Amino acid sequence: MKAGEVWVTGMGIVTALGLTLQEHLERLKAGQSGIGPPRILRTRHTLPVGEVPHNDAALTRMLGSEGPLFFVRTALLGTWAARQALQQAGIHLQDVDPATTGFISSTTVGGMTATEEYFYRYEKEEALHVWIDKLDCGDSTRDIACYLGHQGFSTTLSTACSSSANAIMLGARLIKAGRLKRVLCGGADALCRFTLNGFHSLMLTEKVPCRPFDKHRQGLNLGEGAAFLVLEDSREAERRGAQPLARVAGYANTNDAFHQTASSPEGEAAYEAMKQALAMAGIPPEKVSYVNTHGTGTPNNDESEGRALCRLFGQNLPPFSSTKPFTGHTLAAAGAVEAVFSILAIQEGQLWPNLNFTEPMDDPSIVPVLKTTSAPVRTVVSNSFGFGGNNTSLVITAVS
Amino acid sequence: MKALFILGKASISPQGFGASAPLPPTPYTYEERALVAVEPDYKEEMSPLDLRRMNKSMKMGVWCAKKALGEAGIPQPDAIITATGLGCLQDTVNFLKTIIDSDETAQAPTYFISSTHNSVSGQLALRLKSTLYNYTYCHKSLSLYSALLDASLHAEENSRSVVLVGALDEHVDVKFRHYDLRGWWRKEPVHNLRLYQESLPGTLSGEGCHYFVLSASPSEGVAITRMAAVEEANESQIERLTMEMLEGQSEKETLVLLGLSGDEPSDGVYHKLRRTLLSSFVVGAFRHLCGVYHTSDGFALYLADQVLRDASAPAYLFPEPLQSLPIVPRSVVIYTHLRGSGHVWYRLEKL
Repeated sequence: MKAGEVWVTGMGIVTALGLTLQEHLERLKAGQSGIGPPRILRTRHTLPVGEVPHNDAALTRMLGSEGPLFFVRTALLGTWAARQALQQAGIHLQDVDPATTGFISSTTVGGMTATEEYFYRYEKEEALHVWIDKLDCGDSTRDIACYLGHQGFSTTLSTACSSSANAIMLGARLIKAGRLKRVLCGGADALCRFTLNGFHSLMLTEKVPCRPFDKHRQGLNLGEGAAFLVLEDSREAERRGAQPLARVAGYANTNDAFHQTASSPEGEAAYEAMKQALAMAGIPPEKVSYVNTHGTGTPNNDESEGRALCRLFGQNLPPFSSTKPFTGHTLAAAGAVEAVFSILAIQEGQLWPNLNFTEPMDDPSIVPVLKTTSAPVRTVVSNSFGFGGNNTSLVITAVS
Repeated sequence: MKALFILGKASISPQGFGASAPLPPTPYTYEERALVAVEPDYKEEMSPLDLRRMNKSMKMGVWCAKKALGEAGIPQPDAIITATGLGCLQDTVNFLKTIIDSDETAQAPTYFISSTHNSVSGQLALRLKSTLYNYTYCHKSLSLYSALLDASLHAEENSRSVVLVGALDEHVDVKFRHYDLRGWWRKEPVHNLRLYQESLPGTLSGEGCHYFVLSASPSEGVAITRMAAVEEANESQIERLTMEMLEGQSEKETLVLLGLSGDEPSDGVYHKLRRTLLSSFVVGAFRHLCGVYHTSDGFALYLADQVLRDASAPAYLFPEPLQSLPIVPRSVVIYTHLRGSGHVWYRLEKL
């Protein structure tokens, strides 16, 4: 069976910016960040974070009385976003063939929020033992699938900060290979002390709201959230009369093979990922309307990614920005969160601003989009890079 | 699916370590609640500095990947795909304890870095200077299945591609203790060759690492020719998928390996298959040799490939109440699940 194009027919998102696509759109247009001090996460650190402003009990209530039982925060966020994506696509999992339907999630922390809370209490408190099963990454995927009533293939990726970009790439490959007709793919990660202290101990966190690509940038703000896309074989979407929101036209995963946590100074793998993804899409670099960068705000990432951009696009550097000053770095969710922002850019004909930027770096001296700007957006490159040298670029286009 | 030919493999398990080699006539035996891996001298493959820096998962992963690639004669694969249920768990626990015990005042960046689930795949990219595709799956007992499904996509996308697929999980005392609280393990030490003799709750904990070099290009030897998985399965689904795996396989030449674990509630489905669909097949088991962990199907694949290369199955694959029968296997069908979820099937054939 030969497959058609890979279309996006639904998306769902939850981050510090809000609980719906509409809220995200309004805040992106207005240039309003969701970064602030931690209010729900119990931590001694006062570092700014992109926190979803609802605690676990509130999220559980929002998912309904017959819904989640013993869901960790990652699963709650993931369920919320995944449910929205299916609703927008108009897909009821009860009505589709499970054999041609997939669910690919991704996470880096899984159930760490529960583990860090109860670790020493398990010995004495039997009532907490149920959370022991929740630590591994696959468990939140299973909980989300169960809530949604998904019976078909599901899996979980964990490739650090490129995780959900890789989930989208895998979903697209499964459709192109004719194995599946529709795949719900994305990722979810909750804020936790584990990652906050981890990035802090690596001296990768910023004490003020992050400022990607700025000369004075000092690090990232951690965020949390979830985003899922419904990818669909275009022929199947056409058959049922579904509206395509965008097309996943190209993708590539490459590795820096340089350092366990740092990017190579010239951004070799970032360059290769963008180049290969565009080549697959059959789109020359000069046709790219916008790049949603990885742009974490760490000195190393932005310099390396900036150099890769300059090398690939030369004198014709398209408008680019990092949207992480809006949401913080949502780790495994970031790739899917930013794929949603890329599709919103296409739909709205808007370029999203790179907040908090004041002065360009020395090398490369490049200036991102500074305020929300109207422009025709047909082709977006979305970058997601992670520990382990893991680099993924997605090419998302308007459907002609 | 396109057949995935096994060009090389390596294992570190409670049954020892090595690349392909005839299975020994007798196994390592234990009277324990947890089986731990018999590790090689990593010095052959790693510098003293590496050995200090790397955790157990990384060491096992790097060692097995190198041995498997060496056997296959492949210096650089086109993709590196690792499967792990819990990743580098010891360093995760180390980092977690550091921040809890110090109330977030102590720093332990090294533990944090190597706690990342994709640190073994990332480490392999560094060592092999591999700038290509690099994925890590963490999906409970279907982690390795996911990695192999990805490998089969690679084989379809490019028939000449060679993919390195690995599966690993390490024994960690805290994990053993926490899962013990959940009733995963036997309460008393048990002789591993007598694991299936008594119907009791709980099983043996295990650990291990297995890497395979896979190619879609036909070559002499053994290939994975079929696989299937379901998260939750009822009896009729299990029967249907088992029958599909056995389709066209001769009773005389097919060895079936079941994921028996000695845990009474988990094993009912295997025993029922033995009495029904599998009544005329030679049925063996593997978890008494490697213990139970999220990626113990890696050990089963290693075993299956070697049984087919040896053209014989050692008697210790058939502990009581299983029956050892003489067989010259030409195919092996594996079926296993983990505590009633994550059911997976593989068929390997000598081609």
